[in-house]
Amino acid sequence: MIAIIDHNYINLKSISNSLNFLNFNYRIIKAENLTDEYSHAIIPGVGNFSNAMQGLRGNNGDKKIIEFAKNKKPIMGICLGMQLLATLGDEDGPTEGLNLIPGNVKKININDKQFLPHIGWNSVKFTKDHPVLDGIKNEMDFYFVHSYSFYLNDEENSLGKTIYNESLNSIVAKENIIGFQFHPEKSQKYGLKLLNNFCEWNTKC
Amino acid sequence: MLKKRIIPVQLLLNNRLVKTKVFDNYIDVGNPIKSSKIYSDADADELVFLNIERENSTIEPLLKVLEEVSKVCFMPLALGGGVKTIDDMKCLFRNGADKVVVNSSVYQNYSLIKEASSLFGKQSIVVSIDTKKNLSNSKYDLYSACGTKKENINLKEHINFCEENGAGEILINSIDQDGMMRGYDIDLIKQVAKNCSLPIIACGGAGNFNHMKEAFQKTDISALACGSLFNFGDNNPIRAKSFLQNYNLNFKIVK
Repeated sequence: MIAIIDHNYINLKSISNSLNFLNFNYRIIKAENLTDEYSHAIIPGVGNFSNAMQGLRGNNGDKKIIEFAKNKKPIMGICLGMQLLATLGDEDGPTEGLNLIPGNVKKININDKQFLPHIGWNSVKFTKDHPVLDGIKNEMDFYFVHSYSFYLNDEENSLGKTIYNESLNSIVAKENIIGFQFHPEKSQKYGLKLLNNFCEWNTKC
Repeated sequence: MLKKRIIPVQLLLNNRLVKTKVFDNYIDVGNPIKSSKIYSDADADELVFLNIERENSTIEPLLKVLEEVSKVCFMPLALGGGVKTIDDMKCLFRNGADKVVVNSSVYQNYSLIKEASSLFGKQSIVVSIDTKKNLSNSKYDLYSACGTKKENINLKEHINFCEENGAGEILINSIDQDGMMRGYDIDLIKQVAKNCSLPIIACGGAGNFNHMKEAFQKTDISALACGSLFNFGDNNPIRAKSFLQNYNLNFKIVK
């Protein structure tokens, strides 16, 4: 049973529809109800870093996610959900994140011809192999919507890069944790393949 | 590199898909669920649904389409037509919308987009603007209520208000070119681009791939929307992109 963490995120329908389509069993739960009865946890997200963290902390939901991670269970963050894995977020003042992958979340530097949010289809260049990337061609396009980016302390934790003025970390991973800056549930064929791979992942790398 | 987008626009009337000419002359062009599935398979970059019922328009028809389309199309979905309140938007987002499109309700109340963008993020708020060229002064007049009501504000001012209040994207539509298939109104697109720093989707007039090439080459727009081009004739986003890629225009690669 896969847990989809509901932290006041508006569009849970896209992720739950994708898991329906892929035939996985899931339950939408609050982080404080995350226990070892679940095999995998997905933290989706669109929204604001500090609001989301406050929401998680409210009922010690953050501790439940950290415990789930310590028990070597696979966790996937999507978009804001990936950024919450960081040590510190910059949006609306400094806010501590889940600190599962060391790094900081800061606003993307853009040039005067670009817009924020970085929104649309952009290509992802894999920098390493990973079981969740199995069967996905390199440098395919995925759907992005974000203004902040994950700046890693240790480049070892980067799995994929995307260029938008600067080279952004579009996939991060550490042990049993993986995060996508783009939306696999909105990225058609290969997006669904990534979700499928994650849901079948036993955390071995 | 961020890619250019091609977006089929699907107009809904009485739960069917229709295509208009100059915002009138409705022709039934099929079932919106089936066509969406086909557009998804044909690598469309996003889908836009606009409910064009003029009487008592509500978001019900949008919710109905969303319910089915979000089960089979795993791509960005934008919906509008009859969106009047924050609750309407909340309802659409909860049911799988990624963006909502607002038009008529903005003229009376710019704070609607302000509130919406702070609640849902500005990336999810698309302001659609319907324009018609005024032949006496060559300026663009703005119309609401599916092209039936002339608004008193000018294009530049309206765009500025929308941007200041947190619009994330502008969908600019030419009523004169709607369904005519004789090319986009390039001057209109340029005027919008000059007056705002938001991503722009241009709509109205595409009749062949050369029209799309012209619009992408002569302006800086991020996306082109098409109706008739894909509704009538053997055209789809894959073929459009194959043609446009020969002119140094880049689109997403997903297979």
